[in-house]
Amino acid sequence: MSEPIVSSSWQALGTTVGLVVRDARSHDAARRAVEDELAAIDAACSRFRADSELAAVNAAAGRPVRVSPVLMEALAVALRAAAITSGRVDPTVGRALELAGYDRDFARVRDSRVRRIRVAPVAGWRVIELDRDRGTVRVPAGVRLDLGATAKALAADRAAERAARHAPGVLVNLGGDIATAGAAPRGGWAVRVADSHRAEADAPGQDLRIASGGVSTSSTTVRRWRRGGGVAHHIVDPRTGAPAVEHWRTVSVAAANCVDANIASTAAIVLGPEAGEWLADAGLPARLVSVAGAIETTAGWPPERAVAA
Amino acid sequence: MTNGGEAPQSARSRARDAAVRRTRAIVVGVTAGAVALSGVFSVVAAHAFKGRQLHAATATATPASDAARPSGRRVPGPDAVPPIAGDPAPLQPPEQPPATPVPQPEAPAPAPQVSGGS
Repeated sequence: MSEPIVSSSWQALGTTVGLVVRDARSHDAARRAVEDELAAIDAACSRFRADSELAAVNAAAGRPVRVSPVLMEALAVALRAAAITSGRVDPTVGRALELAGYDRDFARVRDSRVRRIRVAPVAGWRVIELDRDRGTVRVPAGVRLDLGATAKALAADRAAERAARHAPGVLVNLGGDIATAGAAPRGGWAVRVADSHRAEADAPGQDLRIASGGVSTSSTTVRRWRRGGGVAHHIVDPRTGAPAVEHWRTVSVAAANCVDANIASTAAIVLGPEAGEWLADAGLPARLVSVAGAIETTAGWPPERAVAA
Repeated sequence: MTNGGEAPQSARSRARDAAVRRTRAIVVGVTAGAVALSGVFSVVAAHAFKGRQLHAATATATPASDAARPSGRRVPGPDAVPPIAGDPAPLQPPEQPPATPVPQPEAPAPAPQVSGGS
């Protein structure tokens, strides 16, 4: 007899949420858990909500701001990402993203009037002060934080853990950031990696099975927009303050959790040609697709044929 | 008859000399007045624009480093290095790497979840 696995999808945090649950009876409770977790993350970490905690921190002009445990964890994750990647993944890129044109929800960025792309130096993650004892965070005036590189993956991990309290096993897909918790179905969780999380089934990509942990994909082919005579994308190189030079168009990474996978995939885009060696040294299975469509894999990622450019 | 002609000439000379003296006195007076008024106006002007000298002194006292600072907003360094900087946990690989799917003869499972850029 086959195992009753059910799935559902809906929109949240400006992207698509996918939920796969072992045991159909537990789906509704698991979904409520996911929805509650995503609402908490959105209220804490959104750069586009004027009433979010992050907006308050960015507007504090250098004053310490008391924050919730959710934002404190999200900031700690962002700082760890910066430390591990030597600043390639840095939460202080908020101002740089704004100047590049990504200053509102992305659906409105695409439709906005054409203007010139401007570049701003990035202050660097070391200017952020977290006081865990007092529960406060302070950033210097003029520095704007963006947690886009880590908060969505953190949300996926937290949502999967929370949903797994109601089901024997769950997979949460938050706009391509995939987290699992509990026991996997027989044969593993079915995952496909592609340039875009909205890719059709016949789009270039690769089908996989994962037993646990998370998978994340970063790509410069999505969230792109035109400004003046150039094209910008959403992955900023903190060393320059400009969108990262495109060597890899898409990088997918598997790790013990979604946060680690997402840190690695984002850093790989920024690192460029060095990324393959960096991922291999870390023992992280990864699939890197160059701008021309050539594929490299690391650390046991199953090989495949080259995809179309 | 020379004497008879000298008297009227002498009177004219005296009158001319007197006119010259008066003219010289007027010129000297006007010049002195102009100099005096210049001084008065200078004092008045100095009192009317007291801030100028103070402003100049402030500008002179500005450190060279400030003058050379870019016009953009300066970001001060942190008062304390975040605690996470000390010993961040390294990225953790999965327990097993992803695997190529093996066809399952049993009932169809849900479509695979797509991990792609967003």
